[in-house]
Amino acid sequence: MRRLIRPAVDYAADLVRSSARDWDAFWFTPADPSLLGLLRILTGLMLLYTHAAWAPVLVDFFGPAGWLSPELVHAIQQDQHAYSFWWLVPAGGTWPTYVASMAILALFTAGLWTRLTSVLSLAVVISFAHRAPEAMFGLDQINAMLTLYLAIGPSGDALSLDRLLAARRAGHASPPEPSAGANLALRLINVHMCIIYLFAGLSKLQGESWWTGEAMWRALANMEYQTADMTWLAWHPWLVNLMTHTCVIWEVSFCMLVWRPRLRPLMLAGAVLLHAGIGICLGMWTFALIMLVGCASFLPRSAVRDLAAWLAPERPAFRPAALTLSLAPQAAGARFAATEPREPALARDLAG
Amino acid sequence: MSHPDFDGDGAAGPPPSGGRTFRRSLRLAVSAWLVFHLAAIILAPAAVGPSSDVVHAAWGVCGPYLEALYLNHGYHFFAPEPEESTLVSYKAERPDGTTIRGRMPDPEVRPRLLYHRYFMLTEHMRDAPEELQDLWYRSYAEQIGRRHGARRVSLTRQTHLLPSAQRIREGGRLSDPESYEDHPLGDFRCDD
Repeated sequence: MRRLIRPAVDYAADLVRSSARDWDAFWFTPADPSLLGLLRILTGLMLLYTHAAWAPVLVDFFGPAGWLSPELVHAIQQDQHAYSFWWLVPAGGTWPTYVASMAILALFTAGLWTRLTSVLSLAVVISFAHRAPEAMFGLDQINAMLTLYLAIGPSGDALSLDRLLAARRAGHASPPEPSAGANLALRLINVHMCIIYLFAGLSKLQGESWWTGEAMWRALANMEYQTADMTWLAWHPWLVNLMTHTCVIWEVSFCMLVWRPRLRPLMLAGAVLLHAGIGICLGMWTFALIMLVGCASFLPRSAVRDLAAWLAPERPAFRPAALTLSLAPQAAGARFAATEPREPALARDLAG
Repeated sequence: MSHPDFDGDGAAGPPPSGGRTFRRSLRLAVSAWLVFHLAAIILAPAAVGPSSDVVHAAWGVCGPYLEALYLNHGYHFFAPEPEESTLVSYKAERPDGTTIRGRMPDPEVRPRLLYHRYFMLTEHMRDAPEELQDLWYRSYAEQIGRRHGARRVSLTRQTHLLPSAQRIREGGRLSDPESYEDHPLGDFRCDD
């Protein structure tokens, strides 16, 4: 009996130990914050545009009455924990609140007092969304998701005014220090993007037209979305079928294949094609671009780090990571080892 | 700016034992939050029907957290089917007897993002629960009344049906009048 139990116990113990090691490596291996800084700038620019677009109709959506009256929104959200500072704004305070919100988003984008302004930006994004919930769509969901993770991680540690001011105070510039917080935030964005695509794909499998191959026609023949005339596709049903099936397969498989370094460029190219198509054909450029910002969390960290170093006040010679690696792999490896803590095998594999 | 380093075994040498204990505790706490957070963000799309009783029960735990952070989304983009559009046409009557007619969303609205905001207003109205429908329609009608200085507003929901590829091949157009179905929503008085 003991002979039977012992291997099972050993296996379980080994499984727990190795899982704990992999978990730590995946989430807590310190990472350079440059990519996080780049994502902060891109997300911040989108937040600025998204919220600037409210200006012509601000009172119509966020004033005391508006398209979505407070009574209606409270009724919709009656069982929800949906908080918004707009409910505290007195009559006449709509514009001052809006201007303050835009100022916070601008500071966050520039990376000034980022620890504070990132959290405040999250409050701004959520408050706008919860005040006018029926005017929101996928763009706002991704905006909030990215802002949350940028507030969790040290998104102001690179490519920011905070960094510039710190260098000025110290009298010299130095590369940002790798931190577990930066890795945690990047991993959260990676994983959340995988969940989004997985469920976007799985939910399509509930619909008949995604199986018959007609779904893409239905999306592109919707006149209210359409910005490019795609009715010529009516004469090419096989192409519509192919686009429909490719879309589902790509979305469902993204969460598995994007982690493989060799397949990652292919999956990210697929993201660019898919979202460019959404932008060109359906006119949803904001949604398309913010999804690509999320996908950018899979970019090679070393390349972004080198780019950030090149942009720093004291510029070392800029050497693209891929070129460096191909020309002198040993030297590149030594440089990598000198600037970042050694990553366990799993984390290295996943990070590419 | 300082941020917690969750790794107590950093290259800078062993920290004091108190610091190491704190970092290990922090890492454990963050790991516990991560497990909860990951479960929650998977649960959000999984809770969109059809879903199981287990998922419903789990929503009771994670729902408030997801709602507060605006993470309670299904990510069902164009799923399960790309559907027909819902529009709202209106007739607003001013006190001087003039009448204004319009339709939402107006394709002329710029920027395009703002057009999509209006489109979402009409699209989401389609899924309005029955008990909220009157409040919902009244909210839109009163805003239209304020915009145009009207005392009375009539709303009609329009469903723009999607043409089949075959219909287009036979000479049909996306904007064919017969592709619109009208559903009167009622007349509303605007006292503002």
